[in-house]
Amino acid sequence: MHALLGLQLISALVSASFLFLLAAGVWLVFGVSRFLNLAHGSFFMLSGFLAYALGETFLDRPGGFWILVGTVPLLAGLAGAGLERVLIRRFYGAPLRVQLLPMVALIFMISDLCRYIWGEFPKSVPVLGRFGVISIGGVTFPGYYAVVIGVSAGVTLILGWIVQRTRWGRLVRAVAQDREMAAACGVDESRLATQVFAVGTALAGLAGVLVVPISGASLGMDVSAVIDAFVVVVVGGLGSILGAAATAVLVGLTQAFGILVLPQFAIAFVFALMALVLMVRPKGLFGVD
Amino acid sequence: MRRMLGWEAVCVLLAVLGLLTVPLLGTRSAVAQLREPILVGEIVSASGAFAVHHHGQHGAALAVEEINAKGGVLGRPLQLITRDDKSSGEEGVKAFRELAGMGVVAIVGHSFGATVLASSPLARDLRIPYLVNMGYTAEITEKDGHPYIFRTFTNERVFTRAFAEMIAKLPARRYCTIAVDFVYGRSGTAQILGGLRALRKDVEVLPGCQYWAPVGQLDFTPYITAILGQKPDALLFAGMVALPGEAFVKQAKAFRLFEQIQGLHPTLAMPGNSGGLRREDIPEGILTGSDLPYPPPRPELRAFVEAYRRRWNHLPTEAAAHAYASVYLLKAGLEKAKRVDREALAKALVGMTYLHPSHGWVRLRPFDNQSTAGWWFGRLTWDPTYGRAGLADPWYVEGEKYLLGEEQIKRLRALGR
Repeated sequence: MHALLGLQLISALVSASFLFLLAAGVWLVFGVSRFLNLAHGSFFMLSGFLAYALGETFLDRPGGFWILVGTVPLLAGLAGAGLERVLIRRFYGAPLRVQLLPMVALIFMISDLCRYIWGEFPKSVPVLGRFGVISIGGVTFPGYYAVVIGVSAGVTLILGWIVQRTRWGRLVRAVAQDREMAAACGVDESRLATQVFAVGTALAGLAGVLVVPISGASLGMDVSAVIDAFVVVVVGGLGSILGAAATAVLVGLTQAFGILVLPQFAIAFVFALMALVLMVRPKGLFGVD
Repeated sequence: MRRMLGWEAVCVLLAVLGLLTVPLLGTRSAVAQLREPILVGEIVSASGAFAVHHHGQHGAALAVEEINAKGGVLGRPLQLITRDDKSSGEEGVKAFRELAGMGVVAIVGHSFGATVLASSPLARDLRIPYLVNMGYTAEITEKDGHPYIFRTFTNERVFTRAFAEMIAKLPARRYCTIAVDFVYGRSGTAQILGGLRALRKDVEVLPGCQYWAPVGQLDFTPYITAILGQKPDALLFAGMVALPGEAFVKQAKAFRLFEQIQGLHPTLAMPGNSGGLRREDIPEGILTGSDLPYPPPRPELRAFVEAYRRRWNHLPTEAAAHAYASVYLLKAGLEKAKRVDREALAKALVGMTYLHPSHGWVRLRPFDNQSTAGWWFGRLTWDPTYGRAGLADPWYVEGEKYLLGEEQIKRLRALGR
């Protein structure tokens, strides 16, 4: 029995890792720019395909996978910064429906671009077996899953430290809390918005490169990813980054143990959790007014 | 007098020239008509969720090129007019209407089951032969069948029934199942389990071990770990097809699931279901099947695969093979009808025998226009020759044995009405 629970826990933590990396980007961008980045999942998908493309060249070299982990988020971040400068910033402060239109267009454009370059079949980065198998107390699971959990936990701590302890983090929190006051105090809001968007897309890029060995890069993964990210943001609320991480773990646990307890209602569990939180605490579990 | 003769001569000359020119013009027009292409409509899911079926377009185009290079059909070349249904039933219906209005003699379709079912009543009402190259849903030729719809490959009844019969011989008794929660995910699983239970009373699905993954989900880790925890003898994952199927296999391999539990999936070796898997992703030993197995076990299939690869620089999927067979069937039908006429073609196709690259010589049953094509079974392996997932030691089962009989089809259609 403990092996079964252990396996579900590993599975929950892996889900939580991806959920956090995806949600953190949405959380940061919405917090600073009040902009709903619906195309966040598209950066996730594009990064997955980029990981595949770079993997064809680098994967057989020593440390090849880690080259992907370093390069893809960087490229995604740069693409995000460029896009923010050229397109996104024109829609800050616009009504939500106006913000949504260019994002929907972007989703289709990135999807068609991926289809044009990489075709309709999924692409994989075959490293799942390279990290061996880990056995802890009778619970055996792929070593790669430990890598995903470890990288994600590391990023959570670093991001938490940056947001809470550094000057840049203070600026982010200041703009998120009161953008007018922050601007009056001389915060370069425009530059900060670009930086935050770049960090957000880089996190989506990291999630993209880490997910490809598990589920592959495929058309359509953008939409499901953005839904998952929004669920975490809605359930967690716009509070602290560590709150977003805790919410991701909660959603991951709900998915994994929900399947174990009542498999026929597995689909509904997470959305039931979201509905419950919205009813009891509309600003989210860790949200602030 | 001389002047008169001059005028008369000119008039006679003009009249003679006129008389000569009119039939000549007529002849030219007849020649033009003879060489005028025979229009064939083509509906393909070239974009959207089921865009993998667009390989059917390449299969059909290859057959048309081969036929035209050998003089065409009834002295006229074939010409495909293609429309994209965008993986939507509604768009498929629009495309069907548009093609019908353009005077095509027949329509070939490489779409998914729901699009075919949406367009099928139009084929009946407009009396256009509709040759279906994708969509394994049984209803297409059973409950919803009619004289103008023809399926040139097998239907789900064949491979689910044959598979149930096959796995009933395994010692496995305790089962888990997992499927994507969509129509075929549910129906395919139910049909195999139903067939299995009819043959083996001792088989049970473990309590709480029947999983339905949401459409769009590609991380199946929580399901895999839950299945491992239940320790069944066998896992039936027939409803995990296309992208989810590939993702599931890769993740399950990482957990060594198929080293502990017998994997069962009647269609996993189909190129559309496992074309994206690499050597590293493939667990050996899953009992599975395909209607385009790699490496090709038949000479006709090998020839088709090579011709297709030469033309398109990639390997064909099952949709391509079905479409290729369909266009050749269409040619044979037109030659039998001896004229380019929808009604005559529909009548000529009834009961025809034709060569399918994967299945050899098969026929369309006269009472439901369903092909007698069967299914290849074997164990999943890596095919080093073509560099993709393949079948080890494949064997073939005939389709006829597993299809519904004439009386059953009549009853189903009567109930449908």
